[in-house]
Amino acid sequence: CIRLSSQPMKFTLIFRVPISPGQLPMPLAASMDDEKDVNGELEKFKGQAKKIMRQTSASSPTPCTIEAGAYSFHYIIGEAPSSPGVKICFLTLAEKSYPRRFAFNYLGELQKEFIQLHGQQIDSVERPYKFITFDTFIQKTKKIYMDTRANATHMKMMSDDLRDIQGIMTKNIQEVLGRGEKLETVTNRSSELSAGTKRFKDNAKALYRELLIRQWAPVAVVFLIVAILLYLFWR
Amino acid sequence: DAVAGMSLGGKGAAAPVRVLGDAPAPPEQWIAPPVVSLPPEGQANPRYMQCSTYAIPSSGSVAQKYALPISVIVHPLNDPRPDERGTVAPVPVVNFGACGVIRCRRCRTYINPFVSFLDAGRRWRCNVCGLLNEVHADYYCSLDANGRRRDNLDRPELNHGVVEFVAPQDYMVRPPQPPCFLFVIDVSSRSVQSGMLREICAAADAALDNLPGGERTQIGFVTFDGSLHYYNLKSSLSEPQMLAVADLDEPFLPLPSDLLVNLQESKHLARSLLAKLPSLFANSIVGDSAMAPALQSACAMMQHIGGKILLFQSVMPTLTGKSSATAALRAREDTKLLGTEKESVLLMPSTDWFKTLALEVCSKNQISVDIFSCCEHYADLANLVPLCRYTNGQLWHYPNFDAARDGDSFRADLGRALTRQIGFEAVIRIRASSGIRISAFHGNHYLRGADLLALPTVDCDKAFCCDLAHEEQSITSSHILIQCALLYTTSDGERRIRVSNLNVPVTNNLADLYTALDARATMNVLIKSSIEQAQLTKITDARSRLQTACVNALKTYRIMCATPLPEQAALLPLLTLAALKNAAVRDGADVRADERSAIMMQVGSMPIFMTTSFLMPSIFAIHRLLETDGGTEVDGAVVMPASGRLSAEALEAHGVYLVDNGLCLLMWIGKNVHHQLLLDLLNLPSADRLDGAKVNLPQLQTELSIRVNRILRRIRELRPTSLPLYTVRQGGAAEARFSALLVEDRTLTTMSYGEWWQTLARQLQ
Repeated sequence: CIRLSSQPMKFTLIFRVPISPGQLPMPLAASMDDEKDVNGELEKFKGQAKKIMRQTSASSPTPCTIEAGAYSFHYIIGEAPSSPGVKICFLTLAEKSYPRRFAFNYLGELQKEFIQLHGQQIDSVERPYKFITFDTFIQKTKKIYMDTRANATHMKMMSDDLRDIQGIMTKNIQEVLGRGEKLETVTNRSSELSAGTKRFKDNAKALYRELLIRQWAPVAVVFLIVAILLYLFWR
Repeated sequence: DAVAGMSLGGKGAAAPVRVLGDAPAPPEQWIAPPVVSLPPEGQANPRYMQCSTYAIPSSGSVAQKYALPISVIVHPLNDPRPDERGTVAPVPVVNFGACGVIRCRRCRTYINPFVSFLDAGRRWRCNVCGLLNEVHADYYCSLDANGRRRDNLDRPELNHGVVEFVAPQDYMVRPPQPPCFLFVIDVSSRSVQSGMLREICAAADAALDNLPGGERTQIGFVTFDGSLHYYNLKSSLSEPQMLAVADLDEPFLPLPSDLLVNLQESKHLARSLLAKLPSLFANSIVGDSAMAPALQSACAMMQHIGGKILLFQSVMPTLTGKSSATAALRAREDTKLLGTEKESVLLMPSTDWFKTLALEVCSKNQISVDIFSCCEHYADLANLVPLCRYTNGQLWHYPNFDAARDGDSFRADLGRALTRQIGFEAVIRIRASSGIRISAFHGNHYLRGADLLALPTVDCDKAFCCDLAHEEQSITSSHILIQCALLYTTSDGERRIRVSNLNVPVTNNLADLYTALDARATMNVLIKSSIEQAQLTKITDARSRLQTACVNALKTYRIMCATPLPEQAALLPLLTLAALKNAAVRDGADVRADERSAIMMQVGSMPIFMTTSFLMPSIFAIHRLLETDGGTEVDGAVVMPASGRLSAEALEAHGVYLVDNGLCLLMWIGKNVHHQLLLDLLNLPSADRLDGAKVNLPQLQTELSIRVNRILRRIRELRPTSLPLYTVRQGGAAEARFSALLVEDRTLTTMSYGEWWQTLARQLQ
């Protein structure tokens, strides 16, 4: 079946950022899919979102955009006023062409509503997606932000909250996730190196043995001949 | 064993030795509790999990001699009903928190009450593979003098047979899905004239406030006759908008969203649509049905979420498009084939289209299909059944549906389908200790991979069964653990793992398997596997399989010992005879192909108490109710009367009998019944118009009516079906259906119970 148009905001994830190093991030809510992920394209980005979730910490820059090819991740990190020290991250994946100021307005609206509804309960969350019921609000808000032209009036109303896009840090997905990959290549290389040096050591030992043999073999042969001749001579 | 086989005197001279004893009567208790010969500590409550026999043979050779299936039957979401809430505790829920779900590192078995803790509590030994696992720091507790953890009683996973774990994120492929219900409704002229459309709208409207999922529930509607109709339910509209699409070749969705909407936001529109639909098509003369394209677009509408499709049909699908060309069905039932060997052809699908849709589109996208078939004539259900079977859906069959007669049951069934407890995007995996492996599943199922049951939805009425087979080496341990794990999303959006455990003793002695046998559980497995046989080869093969199993089982027992048969094993012949006479596999031309397909589909998911009633109905003598029958006990429970013999000889001509077979109730009225009885019970002076009539038992002020109504209420509380009540007069035309339920009697094609028992006794000499 053919579908006619699609949402610019592909999916949204809300999670509690780990405060202490040992803690894992806890997903609190997520958007519902709008359409079937036909080529598995979205799956790749959802995997990247999970990795971003694991790497986000209380000290990550906010707000921030992470460019990833044809799409961009946008996120903001906010605090729950009633639970100081608990930080919540609002992350969304949008088409690259989608205006950033709308994406950040959208995230701001989500933040306001989420903190109001669930701000009190966030530090006592013990299971993933505890506030999954928030996906109905995410769905409604996504629809409002879908058609930027038709909703220009709505945007004008949001102009006081308009985020200063100049001040938003932009990163590249390779940069964010790349750290992990580079470490891998370094460990690979160092293990390769140590394997190489071991081989070198073995080769060197073998060569040294050969050299000894080469050096002393003629002498040994001469000695042997002399010994035999002497033996025969004495006979 | 020589003693048992000896006959006194020469050949055929003396009376036969009583090798089998007397034929036992059917049990008197209505829905008797399961016979479990295991100590209950740590074992799953039998309502969730049962074995066909509660002793496992130590080697494959002993198992082969046994001749009956060694299987486990699970009914995972069989949570306490509203009437049971006071007496049965709900399944405890455990959240492991930081240490994650505790499982064996090697075989991935979940922690259960039968593991042993060693090394001062620092390690635990898996009872399935024997590996020593480290205890996580957060889970550590010291042991007492008996080697048990001091916090044993505080931890439900260590002392309950059935527990539910809160699943952490790695058990989710995606965030938990919301419940989603899509109505796909046939609006051809037949649908309107029979009243089906009106009943659907009434039942759906009544259920709208009780659909599971709270504020997240999604709902949508598609109607079809010769073309497809979609409905824009965007919440900002004041009225639902209909969009008709006539292109059946490549059905496309006219709107990208707003066809499947949030129920809370669009409830007023859904209500308005349900109120308008009957009048919208009231004057329809379109007799066509584009069911296959409708199914295709329904799947397209839901495939990004998953959930439940409820398909309603009134006529056989007649129109297909290019992409559904092979889905064309035709009226292929030839009544001359019924009762012959060729009947099985009618039970097999003629096209693969529906099975392919079920496996490739529905199962993969977590969509499950329920079908309500209300056709006037032949609907070729054999082709539609795979759509339900492979997606763990259900089929309701109302042959020649007429709203005046069947409306009540239809509304009750549809209401149940919409509001019962349900889980989504689920899988089941059953594990057993080393030495035993899971070999085959029976009944309605779809296996993904080697041993994973894929269940797009799972509800409280579905049971699953699988066989246990032996590995090459004999079992050395004293007990086998059988663990069933159901990973599912609740309708509230929580991901849970429900784990049930049975710890069954191992034995070398074949006789122990007979003592520990549960006849009803064994029959549940046998009837399901014989139905599979009927659909693969011939119905006669199904019957011979049932018969051979019974005869071989008794022969084996007789060879081993001279003692009388254990009580449960002695019930086998009666249950086998009942199965041979059952509408699912019986010989004869009285069961139409559609009915057989529907029954086979229904039996495939039935739990044990349903198959038992279906094979061997309960019969209550209404005219002979005891003082206490139908009254209430101290705790409010209704006293059920004793069930009698299923034989015409036991029926008294002046009596009234009520028969419950799990799917319907039949009331037999003798020809000499006293007219006062009829007045007290039915408020009718005579039984003239009561032959084959569907009746709503009136609530009269007479003692008899009060008690019988209480009994009926109790029966309906326990049954997952609407249980319509039909009356039958002695000697009337409809009596044939009633007589078919009297399993102890002789029929044209099978023996009576007494004769069968004698035959068996003779075969065992």
